[in-house]
Amino acid sequence: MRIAEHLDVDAPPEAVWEEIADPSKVLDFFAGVTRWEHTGGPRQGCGARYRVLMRVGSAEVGGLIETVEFAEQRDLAWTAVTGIDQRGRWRLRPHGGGTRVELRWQYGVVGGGLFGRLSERVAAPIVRGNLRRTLRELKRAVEHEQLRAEAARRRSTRR
Amino acid sequence: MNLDARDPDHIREALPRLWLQASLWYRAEVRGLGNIPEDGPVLLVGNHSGGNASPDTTVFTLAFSTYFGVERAFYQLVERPSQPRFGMVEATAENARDALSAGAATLVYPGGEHEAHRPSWQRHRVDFGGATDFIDLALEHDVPIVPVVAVGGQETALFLPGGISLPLWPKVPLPAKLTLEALSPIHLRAEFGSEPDVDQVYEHILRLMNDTLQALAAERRLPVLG
Repeated sequence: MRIAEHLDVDAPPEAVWEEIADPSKVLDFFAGVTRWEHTGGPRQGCGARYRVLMRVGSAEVGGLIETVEFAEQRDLAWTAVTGIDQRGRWRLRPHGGGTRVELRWQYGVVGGGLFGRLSERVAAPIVRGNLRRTLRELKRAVEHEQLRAEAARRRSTRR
Repeated sequence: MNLDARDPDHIREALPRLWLQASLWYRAEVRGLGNIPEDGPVLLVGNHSGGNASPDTTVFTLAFSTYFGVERAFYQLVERPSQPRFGMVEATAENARDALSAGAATLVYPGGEHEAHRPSWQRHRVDFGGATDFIDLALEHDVPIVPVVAVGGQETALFLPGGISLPLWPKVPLPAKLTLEALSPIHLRAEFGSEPDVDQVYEHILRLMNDTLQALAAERRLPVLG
């Protein structure tokens, strides 16, 4: 199952990138995620490994993931090493003076058969809801940070 | 060795079915998995409910496998191991010793079938029937005990004295809401001295689990619906 959601953020890609690329900030905005813990490789960038869990229904689902794409201010993608099969991607593109942020999540269990397909469909609204809330939280965090930085800049100019 | 039947790939492929069962039928909620040590052998001690069907074991196996990954060895010692590929093995002292020696997380039910078939009106009571073998086992292997308390399993049917459960047919468990909670690990020698008094440890664990079960039961508004 592949789920993709997007949202426009009133901030440049570098401001959005600062939030999503920092693993210590992920839990602040990623809805449903209960753990995003660095377990090996570099702290961020290609080869970085994290243990990730997302609460979906009756289980915290996830496993070990590895960052496989880290194109600054554009794309950050990961894939599962252990646990359920999953791939995810942050995709940032300049859009009307701000940034269009797309979050994609592909998940499933290879060999899960009919129950696998059924569970993917049943879980889809939960996962989609989590992705939507994540984007809203990210937008709020980034735009709030922009406003705070702008206010600080104005204060320093007045002095 | 009796532990050889466990098959991580099979468990992984079965996770969707278990997830559907746990999420839709039992609306299960499993708390406190973070209390279980991240690695190494650990003795998980559960209260047993639900008669022969015992949905608690299935739900906990799902929760454990998705939380820690199917790669972490996990065995469930039960009287009738219906799913050996999930890691279910017969509840014998030898299997328990083998599992812990292999470094596995090992779930035991000291109350066994006696507890799983207790009458429905005793559903909010942990009843190990005085069995203390699990404490000797933890001491022998010097592993922490993590109590796992479950509520709801004894509402999947009407259990009467003498091991009778209704309806007699069909044997489909009622969709009772299940809540499970893993408590903080108990390191016996650190908490009870180098030669712990088994009876004292038993009373402590039983009281802890009963208190938790009462608290979980108090959250429920209606039988079955939870």
